[in-house]
Amino acid sequence: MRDGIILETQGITKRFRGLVAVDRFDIAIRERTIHSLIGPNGAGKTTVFNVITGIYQPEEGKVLFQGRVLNGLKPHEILALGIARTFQNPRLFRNMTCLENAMAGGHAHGRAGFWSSVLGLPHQRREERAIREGAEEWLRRLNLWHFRHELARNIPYGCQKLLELARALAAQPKVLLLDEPTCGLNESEKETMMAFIGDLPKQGFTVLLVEHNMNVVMGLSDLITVMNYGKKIAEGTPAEIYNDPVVIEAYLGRGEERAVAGG
Amino acid sequence: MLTFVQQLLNGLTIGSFYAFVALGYSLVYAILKLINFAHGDLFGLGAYLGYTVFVYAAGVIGSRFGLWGLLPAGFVAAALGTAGAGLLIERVAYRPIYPIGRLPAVVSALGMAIFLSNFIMAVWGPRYLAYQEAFIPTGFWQIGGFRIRVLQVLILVSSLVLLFVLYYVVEKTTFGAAVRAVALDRETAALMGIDFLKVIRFAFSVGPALGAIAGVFVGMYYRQINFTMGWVYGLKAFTATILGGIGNIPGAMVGGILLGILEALAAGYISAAWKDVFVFAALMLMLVFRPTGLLGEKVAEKV
Amino acid sequence: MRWLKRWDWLSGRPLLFGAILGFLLSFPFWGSRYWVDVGFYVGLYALLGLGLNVILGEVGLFNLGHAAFWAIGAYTTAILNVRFGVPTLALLPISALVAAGCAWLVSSPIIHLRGDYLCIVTIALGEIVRLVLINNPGGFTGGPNGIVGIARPSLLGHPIRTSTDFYFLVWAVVALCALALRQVQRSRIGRAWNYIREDEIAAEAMGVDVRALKLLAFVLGAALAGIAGNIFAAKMRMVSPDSFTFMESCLIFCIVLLGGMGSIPGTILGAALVVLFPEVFRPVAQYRLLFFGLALAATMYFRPGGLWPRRRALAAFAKEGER
Ligand SMILES: Nc1ncnc2c1ncn2[C@@H]1O[C@H](COP(=O)(O)OP(=O)(O)O)[C@@H](O)[C@H]1O
Ligand SMILES: [Mg+2]
Repeated sequence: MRDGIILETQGITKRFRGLVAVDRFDIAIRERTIHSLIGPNGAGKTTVFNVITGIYQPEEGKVLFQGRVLNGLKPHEILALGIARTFQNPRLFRNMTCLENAMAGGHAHGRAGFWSSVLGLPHQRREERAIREGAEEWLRRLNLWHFRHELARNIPYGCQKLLELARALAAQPKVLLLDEPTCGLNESEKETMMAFIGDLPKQGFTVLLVEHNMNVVMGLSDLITVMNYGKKIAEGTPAEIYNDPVVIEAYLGRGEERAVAGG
Repeated sequence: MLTFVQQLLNGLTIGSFYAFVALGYSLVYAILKLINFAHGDLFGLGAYLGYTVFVYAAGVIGSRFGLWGLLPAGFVAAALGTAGAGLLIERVAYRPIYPIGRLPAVVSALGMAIFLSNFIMAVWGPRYLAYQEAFIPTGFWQIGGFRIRVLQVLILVSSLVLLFVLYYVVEKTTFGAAVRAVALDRETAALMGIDFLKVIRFAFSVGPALGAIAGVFVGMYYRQINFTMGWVYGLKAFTATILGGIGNIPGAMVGGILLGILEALAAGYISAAWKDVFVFAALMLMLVFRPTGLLGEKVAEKV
Repeated sequence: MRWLKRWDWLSGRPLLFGAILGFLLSFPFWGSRYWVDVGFYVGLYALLGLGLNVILGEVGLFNLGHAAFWAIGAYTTAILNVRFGVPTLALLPISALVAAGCAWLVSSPIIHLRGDYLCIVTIALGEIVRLVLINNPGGFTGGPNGIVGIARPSLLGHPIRTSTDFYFLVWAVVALCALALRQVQRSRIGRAWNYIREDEIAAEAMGVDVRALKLLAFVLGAALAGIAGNIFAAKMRMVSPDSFTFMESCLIFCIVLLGGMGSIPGTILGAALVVLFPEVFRPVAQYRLLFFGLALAATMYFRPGGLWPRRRALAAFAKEGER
């Protein structure tokens, strides 16, 4: 691992039939920072997440986590190594309770097998309690405690986004990939979410953030990477990016984004 | 060589039956993403309706216009009746249920399949019924060492014509474009003002009508029908649908013909008793190695 | 307020379950032999349903070929008992293992298939097994007539003979399986199964080894079907391919959906309905399956979640109360 870089991609490329969604893309994320990945719609940000988390295999390039190559690993193995994510559109376990959703985070850290579950052996019970308490902890911190026995599909959209975050955090990851966490939230929910994310590095988490809301990005990020058409077009601190003509051009080229970028 | 050509011809004939029935599955699947388990039994219903018309109209139509007057009457009546049954089933058993979810819809489809086959049994009885000589073109041509039956030619020609017509409608007309749009993405199609119900009605009338025609042909070809035939042919036809790529019209045709040939050759060269085992094994291998079927395209799921 | 809670506890589920248990235990002593046999079949289908419930109800894998594993269990018992003289009851675990092993072999290459594709493969599988049994490879399966002359099982020297004996045998197994499955439902394995059913990609991303857990479900469901096969073979004293048709697979599928996906009491209720339906409609025997088809569609319309769905939120509350 070179100087505090915990997660990096080296020249990853992902194609869908003719379309090159991610094109020889590099990004290096420093431990305990918030690193934002921005770019117009369809730039390939979500695809980068999918490649890092093993949902897609890249055609070219490598993903390195703490010096270890992740290529070829399955998503569940990657989570167990310490990378958790949220989805752009919440993908909760809709017909299960919020508590059960959050408990998913603890799954990978459990060891109890089928027979110890059938027999309810002491170590299995201990483990269950630990998973449950871990999940409850995050539900409390994200103010979802009163929803713990509600089905995930019945809680408000904003809370669903928070619940996805709780679920990912309950997995005790080292790196957290957040795909547009404030999208679709109202102003007060946005603020809660921002404050919460801003606090994560202090608790030892590293965050890779995809976000359209420039206030959020500029306010939170330690470093920003901009991508367009699958390629990295700029990288720097918020101040550098804010004035970068290449970035402005990329957003101007797509009209509607300018307002957001300026606002 | 002789047996090979003969088996090939048999395979083509059986394959056309499968292709006919497979189209019904494919149309409905393309639009609703639902396996219409009742489709096989609609095909069985078609065979029985055709039988009934032949029996009761033989005196009226057959005596006046002969066999070639009787045949169209039987086919048209069977096709119309079965299309009506298809529409009715869609209206009462699918339309209220598919918004709820796919699993309830599958169970409802299974329920309709059970209902239909038992309905046929209740009306026409559990025993085999014989299609009589009088309803069947029995001529044949002797070419070299093997014979071609008029019926086989009739089956092959009409399947080619009907399948081509359907292909033309779906691929080349405006209405066909609407069908394909719904198949691709129902919400977007609805936003573009496409009448979803019209497309549904198309699928649930044309599919069963084609199935009914195949049913009458099967009755003529094997000269007997039974209330369980829907399930047997339905399963094979569904296999054909998967072989060709589900939701894909040329795929259903190709899959049906291929399956028929595979089955005939397996029966001729390996063993008639094991032929179905080969067919189903082929299906499993297909799904393991190329789940999108022969003519289907591979698409990555969007996350 | 405490007494109120307690009253609720008494009048609620334990009371209902107690009544059901009392009925089931006493039934053979006042019911006629005919109805005790019907009770046996309810238990047998409940066992088959519980197995499929793991696959279909908990994990959401469409399996329309469950009868294949039932057949494998029954034929394992028949062949090993009739040809090699292995005691029938000793074959109960062996039948389960053989069915589970077969399930593992055939499902490994297909387990990644989704939804309808898996459904079709399992239908094909069920047909292949049935056709192989009919074709009598190596003279092992006895062809269309099957195998006759399976010895009665005996438990500690006490022969299991009467309808009542078999009734208790099957219900004891059902009770054991139901308890074991309930334990699993409340463990990380059971939750992971449900995560897969709800959203496979999210489950994978949350660290669930989807492939391994799907295989576990398949193998476990098949093992229960294998046990059912053993008991069925022992009761009938013969096996033949017509007992394991696609229709049977459909019925087991409907049992799970009628009862409610992932609901253990629901599955048992579903089995009772599917077995009792033809009995109740015996006067109109010819039309009973016709009505059954309609009833299936109607149930899905009025209660798409099944008749006795699993109540997650309440179950969690109850657990809280116990602590
Ligand atoms: N599974 C897929 N199949 C085909 N194309 C895809 C798939 N996933 C993403 N794409 C395409 O890749 C491009 C990048 O998409 P995405 O990564 O979602 O962009 P972003 O998250 O930056 O908005 C888009 O053009 C999108 O349509
Ligand atoms: Mg995106």
